[in-house]
Amino acid sequence: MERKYLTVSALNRYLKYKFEHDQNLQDVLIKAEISNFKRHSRGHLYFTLKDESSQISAVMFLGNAQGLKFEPKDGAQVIVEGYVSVYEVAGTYQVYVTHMSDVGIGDLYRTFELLKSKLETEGLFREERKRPLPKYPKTIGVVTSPTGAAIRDIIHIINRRYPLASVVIYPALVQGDNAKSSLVEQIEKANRQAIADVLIVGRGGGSIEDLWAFNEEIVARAIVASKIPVIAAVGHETDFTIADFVSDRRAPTPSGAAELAVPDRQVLLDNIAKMTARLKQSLKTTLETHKAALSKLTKATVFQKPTRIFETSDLRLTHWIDRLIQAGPKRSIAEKKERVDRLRALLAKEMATRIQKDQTHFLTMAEKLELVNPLGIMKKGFAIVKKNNSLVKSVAKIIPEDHIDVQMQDGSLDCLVLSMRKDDL
Amino acid sequence: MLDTLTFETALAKLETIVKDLESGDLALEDSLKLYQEGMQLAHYCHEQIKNAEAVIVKLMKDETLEDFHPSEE
Repeated sequence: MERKYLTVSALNRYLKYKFEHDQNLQDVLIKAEISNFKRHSRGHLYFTLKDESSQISAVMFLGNAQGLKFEPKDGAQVIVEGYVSVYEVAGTYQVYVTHMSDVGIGDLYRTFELLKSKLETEGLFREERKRPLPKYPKTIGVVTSPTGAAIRDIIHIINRRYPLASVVIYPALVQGDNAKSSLVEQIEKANRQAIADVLIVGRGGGSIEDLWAFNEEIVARAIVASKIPVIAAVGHETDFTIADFVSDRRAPTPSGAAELAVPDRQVLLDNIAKMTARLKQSLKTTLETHKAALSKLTKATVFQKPTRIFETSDLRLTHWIDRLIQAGPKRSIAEKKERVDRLRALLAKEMATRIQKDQTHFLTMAEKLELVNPLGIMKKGFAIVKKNNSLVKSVAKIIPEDHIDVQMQDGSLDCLVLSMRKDDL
Repeated sequence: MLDTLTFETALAKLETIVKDLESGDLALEDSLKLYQEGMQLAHYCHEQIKNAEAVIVKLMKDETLEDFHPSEE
């Protein structure tokens, strides 16, 4: 048969129904200490009710809180009356307080508050006083009872997380009248021997009286004086002692202290594997980068078309000349322009003179030429004689009956030679 | 060289090498050298953790260390 599923809302509604139908929970009277006290802006009070080993959330609504005859605060011993029910939205159960009365602050609490404010004034709780813990300690010193559950928990955790380390136990009494001096003695011994890199000081859970040695001033001062960083691990999560405030780190439990003291081997192995992968990847990237750079170089245009070198330079030159012209002072340009104009005028004048001179020269030469021009001679009545189209310079070349061609300045004559007479010059 | 290194120093050195190599500012030859050194360190650290068997626990009795066996409850 198929099973039916519940919604979370249905489950919480059911639990609330069960709580509210249990007569024992409908009217409860509790003696407890207040902690985590908060007054909501709408007037409701939220706080925790606790004793040495347990706690429960509580709420007191405005309507009931208005009837209070004292000012509730952390550490106050109170007697409350109310009922227990489930807050469905969060799936939590809590005490709904209807009445609350003050039974006064306990003596232990008063002593605690007094020392706390004294040491706080001295600045011993300040964060900047606190030292970092070594990341990879070789030796962990533990000041605690060698027979308690605390030391077993610590060894178990360190063994699982970081077996590279070793543990040295400084055996101490952790409750009773002699506990404070025993704790001080062992903290001082650990510092004198200086074997440990980090010190765990603590014990397992117990009543406030059981834990009281960790609220003693001499213990607090021994922790402050320790040259080795101290992790305090006293009782449970909800227990706060003076030792917790003055130590370099507070752990909620002895197991928690061991977790703070050493790294986790699995995290370390993962980390080493990651770094190995990063090493490989970056070498690969480096090689690829170099390869790409080489291939780009060989493909570069200069190797393919070397003339590009000049083209680029030429472009740049042109560019810079243009820039220079644009950037040059206007006055200088005007001056240059004027000078160019003047030179141009001078050149024109020079050219004109030169042309005039050349013309004169040409005419003289032409006249001289005219003197030797055969046509010029013919103007004076001379003629040219040709026979068979060749110039004839002597009568010896001609015999009677020859046809000769006589050219004169305005035409030619075809002549028949009748006779010939040679002159003796 | 590796035998004289503590686990912590080896790990710190490895971290530095990884960062240097990833910066990409190195010559090819130096990259190769660092890569080799980094791989050796990673191997060394890995072995240190893998070979660690159990935490050694001692009890400080007065001024001398004694073996300690936690009492079973």
